[in-house]
Order: sequence, then C-alpha cells, then structure tokens
Amino acid sequence: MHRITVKVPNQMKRSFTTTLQVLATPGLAFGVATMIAALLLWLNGYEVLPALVALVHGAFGSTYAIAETVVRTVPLLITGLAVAFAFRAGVWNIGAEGQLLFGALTAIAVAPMLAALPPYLRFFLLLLCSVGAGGLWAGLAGWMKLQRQVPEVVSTILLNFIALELVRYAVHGPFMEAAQQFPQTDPLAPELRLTRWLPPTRLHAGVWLAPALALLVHLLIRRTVFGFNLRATAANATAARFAALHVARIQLWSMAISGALAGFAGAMELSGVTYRLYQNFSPGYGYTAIAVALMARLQPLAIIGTALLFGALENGALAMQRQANVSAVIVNMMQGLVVLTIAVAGALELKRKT
Amino acid sequence: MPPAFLEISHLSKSFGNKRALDNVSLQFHAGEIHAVLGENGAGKSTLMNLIYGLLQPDRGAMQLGGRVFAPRSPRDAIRSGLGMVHQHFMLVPTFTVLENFLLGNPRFRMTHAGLRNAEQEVQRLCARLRIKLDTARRIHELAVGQQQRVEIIKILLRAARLLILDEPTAVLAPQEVEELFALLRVLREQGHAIIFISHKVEEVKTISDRVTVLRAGKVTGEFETHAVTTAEIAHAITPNVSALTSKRVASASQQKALLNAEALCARNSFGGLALDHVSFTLRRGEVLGVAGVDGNGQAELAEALMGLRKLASGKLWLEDWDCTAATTLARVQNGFAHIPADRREMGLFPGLTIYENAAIFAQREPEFQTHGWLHMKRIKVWSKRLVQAFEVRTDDMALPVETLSGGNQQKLVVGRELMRQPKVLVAVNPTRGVDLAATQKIHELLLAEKARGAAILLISTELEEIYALADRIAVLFKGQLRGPFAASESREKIGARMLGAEI
Repeated sequence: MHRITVKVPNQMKRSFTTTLQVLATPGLAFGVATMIAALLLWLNGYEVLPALVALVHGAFGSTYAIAETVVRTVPLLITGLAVAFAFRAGVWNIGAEGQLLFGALTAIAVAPMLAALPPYLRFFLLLLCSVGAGGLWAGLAGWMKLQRQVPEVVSTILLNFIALELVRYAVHGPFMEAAQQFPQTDPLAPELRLTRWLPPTRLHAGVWLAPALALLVHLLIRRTVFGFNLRATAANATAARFAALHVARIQLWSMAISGALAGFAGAMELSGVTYRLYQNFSPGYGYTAIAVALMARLQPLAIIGTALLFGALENGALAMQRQANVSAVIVNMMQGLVVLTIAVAGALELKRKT
Repeated sequence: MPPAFLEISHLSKSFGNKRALDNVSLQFHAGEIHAVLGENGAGKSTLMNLIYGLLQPDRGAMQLGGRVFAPRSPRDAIRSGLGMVHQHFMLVPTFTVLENFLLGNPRFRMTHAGLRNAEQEVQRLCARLRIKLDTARRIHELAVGQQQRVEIIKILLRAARLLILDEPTAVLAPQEVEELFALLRVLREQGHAIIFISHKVEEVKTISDRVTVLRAGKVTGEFETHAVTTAEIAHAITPNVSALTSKRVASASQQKALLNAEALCARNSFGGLALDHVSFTLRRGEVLGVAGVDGNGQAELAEALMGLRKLASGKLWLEDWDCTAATTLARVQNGFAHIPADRREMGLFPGLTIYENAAIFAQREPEFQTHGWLHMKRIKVWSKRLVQAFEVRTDDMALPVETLSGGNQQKLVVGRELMRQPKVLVAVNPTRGVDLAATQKIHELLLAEKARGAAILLISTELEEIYALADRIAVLFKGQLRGPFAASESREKIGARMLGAEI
C-alpha cells in the first residue's frame, strides 16, 4: 500500500531549511561581491577597512543614518515589488524606472487641477493618478505585446527613455518652477506631502506603507485566484492555455499592476522625499529594483530585506565618499557585482540540480 | 563466447537520495541485438547516459574492446565508436540528407570534392546495408521512418561500432517498424553491437538476441530471448502485473450522438492544412479510436475540439449546442475535458506544488474561493481526494510536481480531467512514456468513464492501445480522417491506412 500522509513537523522543518537555502546563495554571492569590492578598493590605493567601516557606519551608524537608509529603501522596495510581480507572472518588465517617472510626472500635472477639493481627497486622488499612470505606461507595453507580439523587454526599456525625456521637457517647459531659475517644478502644496516622523530626517509615512504593500503583494500572489493563475501562467503558458486560462489577459493585467506599483513608488518619493520633480528625480531606482527583486528570488517578503540592503549600500556609499574619499562608482560596481554573483550562483545551482 | 565488446561492471549512480542505478553489470557483444527493458524510472536512461558520457558513475567501471572506457562527454563516446539514436532525431529539418551527414562529422569537408567523397561513401554504405537513400531530399520531406534511417546512417558514418537506440519504435507505424527491424538485422550480421531500449515486451521478443530487465536501478532479469516467454519478461519488469490485455466491454452502439464534427478544417502553425474536412460523430458511452503516425494532424484535431485552435471552416455540435466558436473555458464548463499529448509541455506547471497542479481547474469554482480569495484548506482536501482516487503516489503534496514519476504525473493529469466528470473526453496518447502498471490503471479509468456514459475520443499513435480500448477505429492521415472502421478490422489494414493506403 502507498501512503498519503502530510507530516506537519517535517513540513515546518523543510520550510525552515528552504528559507535557509534561499538565503544561502544570495548571502554567499554578497560575500563574494564584498571581497571583490575590497580588492577593487585596495587596487585603487584606498585603505580597505576604514572605507568599509565608513560604509557601514554611514548606513547604520546613527539614528539619522538609519533613517536615511530607510528613506532610500522605500522606493527600492516598492519598485522591487513591481519588478517581482511582473517576473512572477512571466512578463519581463524592465520599465519600472519609466513607470515611476511617469507616475510622478502625472502627479505633478494633476496636482493644480485638484486645488478646490478637500486635502485628504486631493492626496488620495493624487496617489490614484500616479498609480493609474504607472499602470497605463506598463500596460502600453503589455498591449503592444498582446496586439503585435512586441517583446516587452524591448518596449519597456524604450518607454523608460520616453518617460525620462517627457520629464526633462516638463521641467524645462510647462512645469518649470515659477522662478524660472532651475529645471525643476515648484514644490507640492504642504497638504499633499506625507508626514515626516522624525525630523530633521526625511523619514516619512511611506516607511509603513511599503512593507504593508509587500505583504499585500505576497497575499495576492499566494492566496488569490488571480495569483494562482498568474503563477500557473508563468510556470507553463501552454499548459495554462490548455487549462482554459486567459493567458494574454493575465499577462496584460500583471504588467499593468506591476506598472501601477512603480507609479505608486513615484508618488511616494515625490510626496515623501523630494516634493519636486526634476530630471534626476530617480537615481535609477527602477533599474536597481531588478537586482533587488532577483536577489530576493522574487519573494515579496524577502524583498523587504534586499531593498534594505541596497538602500544601505547607496546611503553608506555617500558616507564612504565623504569620509574615506572613495568614489561612489566603487559602490555602483559592488551592486553590479552582487547581481552578477547571484546570477552565477543561480546558474551553478541549476546545474547541480540537473 | 568471444569477449564482450562493451563490458560494464558494478556501475552505480545516485541522484540525491535516489539510487538510479545500483551495482549493474552487463556485457554487450558484437553481432548481437541486446534489449534493455524496464519501466520509466527503472534506470534505463541513466545507464545509457553513463555509457554515452552524459553522466559519470559514482562507482564501477566500463571496458570497451578490452580497454578502460570512461567517457567524460558524448564526444568521447562518439570518438570511441559509440552512437546513439535519440527519440527526438538530431537532424536539421531544412538541410538535405547529405548536409546532415556532413554536419559535425570531421571526416567530411564542406568542399566540392568533400561532398562528392561523402556521397560516394554514403552510397557504398547503403549498398552494404542493402537500402536505398536519396541524399538530395530535405529532412522535413521525409517520413519519420526514413528520418530515423538517416539518423542511423549518420551515426554509422562516424564509424560507430555500438549503436544505442532509445525506444526507436515509439514514433513508427507497424510497417516502418518492420523496415527498421530488417535494417537492424543487417547491422547485426555485419558485426555491430546494438542496444535496443524499449518498454514493449512483444517487439523485444521479435528483434533481440538477449534481454536485460532493469527494475528500480537493478538488473532483475537476464535472458536469452529464444529461451524465454513474454510472460517471464513481463514478470521481471513488474511482478504481479500481467501484460496488457484487451478489456474492451461492449458499448451501447444505439446511443444517440453526443458530439458531432462536420467537415472541420484547420491550419497548422505554418499555414498548411492540418485538418482536411474531418467529420465524425461520437456517441455516449463509446470510445472512438483515432490511429495514425505522429504529425498527421492529431495535435491540431485535439486543439480544434478544445477551442485552442481556430477552425478555418466546419461545425462542431455538442448535443444541441453549436460550440464551433465557443471559448476553451465555455467548453470546459460544458463538459469537455482533454488529456493533452505531452504532460510536460501542455499539462503540468513545474515549480508549482502537487496540490496546485491538481487544483488548476477546481480553484476557479465558487466552492473554492470567496471574492477571488482561495480557500487553501478546501483545495488541499480536494487535491488529496484526487490523489487518492487516482492512485498518484506521493509522500508529500507540498512538493513541486516534477518530483513525481512520469506515471504518477500522468495519473494526476488524467485525474484532474476525470474529477470533473466530463461528457466528452479528448485523450491524446494518454499513456505515452508511462510504465505498464500506470498504463493499466489509466486504461481502467478510461473504461470506467465510458461505462459512466462519457464519450471518449482516443487519439493515439499506439495501435495496441487503440485496439485495447476503442469500439470503432478511424485513421488520421495527412489531416484526413478515414473510417471509422469496426474494431475487428485487421491491424494490417489499419496499419496500411496509417501510411496513406486507400483501401
């Protein structure tokens, strides 16, 4: 006779060990990346240990440092979720950057039109516009894939450039500040800004929203019919079609939701941190997000951790630049190295399995 | 007896905790056809991959022609005089036969003189093998049997002395099998060693000189073919299971038609006519078998019936419902079910758990969700019931579905469809790549469905399967449906029609 038993203790044990396994590869990759970065520092004539200490201290050394790290984590976390959501559905949205920018731009464009409404409603509508705009921008790529089989990898990257140029045009032209001095918009009205919890740091309310969003995305993927269909589509699109799922529609919606998340990140950054839009509004959050999502193996809850890691790296880099006089380029290289080592580690793991 | 051409001693290979091959010793002789039999997962593929250099053994050694043989890659194996005919041919369809011979063969050069030399050598070889071959034809113009012949000659041109054929008859019509066997006999006569992998006892009995049976990684039987009965071999493969027998039960042929297909036409992915005015009626409680060599429109017929492929013309009725233009979802909801031809490509979701794979249809039912939120507990209970009812063997349903063996994967796919108690079941090669025990179970399930009143369209390339289950037999050839004929029609006639004979 065969057995069909479900052993609960074993399952718990397994979920613990799989968590460890999931973390092991990125952890190892991060270690290797750090070592290579140390080597780079050494080769460039820096003192390695003080530089790394400055990095860690700059990221976590004081309340201010921690708050700033978290501020940098928020957009990475939300765009990381955006990327992960699309990837989990098997659509390759490389355009979180453009969707974030388009979301923020839309917020700036819409804000003056809402002046007559009560503040809370205004804020809510502002968020809604950013979310909708991000979804639309990504949905455009999804629609082109659906209608004309345009590969979404290409279209989302190209839409990034268009969004960036639109922002550039807007801040030099129609939305340039009233003083006409710098290529930036006027700041948002005070009632449209998120509360800052810990002045003088820029820690804002988005700090709570972003992890909540991670949980929401996790539940959406794991616990809903839509999430089930999305995972099935990604696992095997042909089998999904044979199981009477509407694959094209699922992929289009996944793309749109992914873009909506990125648009939301834009609104958070605008109303929580910068208040203004300018050309370098995003220092490539939408691109770093790809690394954030991949390092977390596309697990929404793990993205909280990887986003924090990359946030700390970026914030610490500034301190390292100031205190140890190390170029931030080294840190950018280190981020690149983390992604590369993870990719290599993943490939090795795959080879071991087969 | 002369020394063995290839001798393997005490080979073992494990994957994780699983012993795929356990202390296996075998001898393969020149001038002998040596069949290796076993169910899926018995270790046949692992053994062949070790011999062919795709895997390296944990323990044990091999000797080839008296010398140590430890291939690190297929390239090593080929250099040492081994050749493998895979189930999926390694040929470039748009190249000519000769071009395929030149490809990757260092002995030939891509020059005018090189081509002439190659052509001469091919013709010399063909003369020796007493076959004819037109080397100017493109591969995709050839029938499957001819393609296989090209594959064999390609390997011989690389001076292979030992040929490994991996289930070579799986894709062939009966007449083509005869031709293959004739060729293999000539090769044996000329001193080649041949390893013939199969899970069909009958054909092994016909062609081989020696039989080795593997079960769970161990040798469970070694026989001289002439001195052993089919039953003894079958017993070594799976004790307690007798060979496949016909269990056809009389069907109520007076039942009224359930599914009506009128002149269905559909195009294949390249724009060619894949279904050419296919008409048939399917009655409640009957199995209509559709025989045919793979690639004659089977996939397109199943897809057209399920609404997965657009019809160019024709009409489809389920009782009074004109479902010609209905979506797949509408069909599924109104009693259509489909066992797809390839469970990995079209049926399963790798990476998702066994629970989730079992529940892919169920999860959308109102019983398992509230406003789009899944009732995980109910889904798990339901999936467990499915797994029990259809004897899917698993210790832990939270594991990814690819951890199941092939037979259990197939039972899961079949069970998923049958749990819905369909009116019409389109089953395409429902037992392909499945061991004997699982095949019997699936056949029993299909017959139970028929007894319940389902109408079953059994599209299969295995004539044995059609004869075991079908009440009427039709033949699909180049998109045209011939028949249906009575189940008593002779195999020779059906086989001839599978190759296009109009009789």
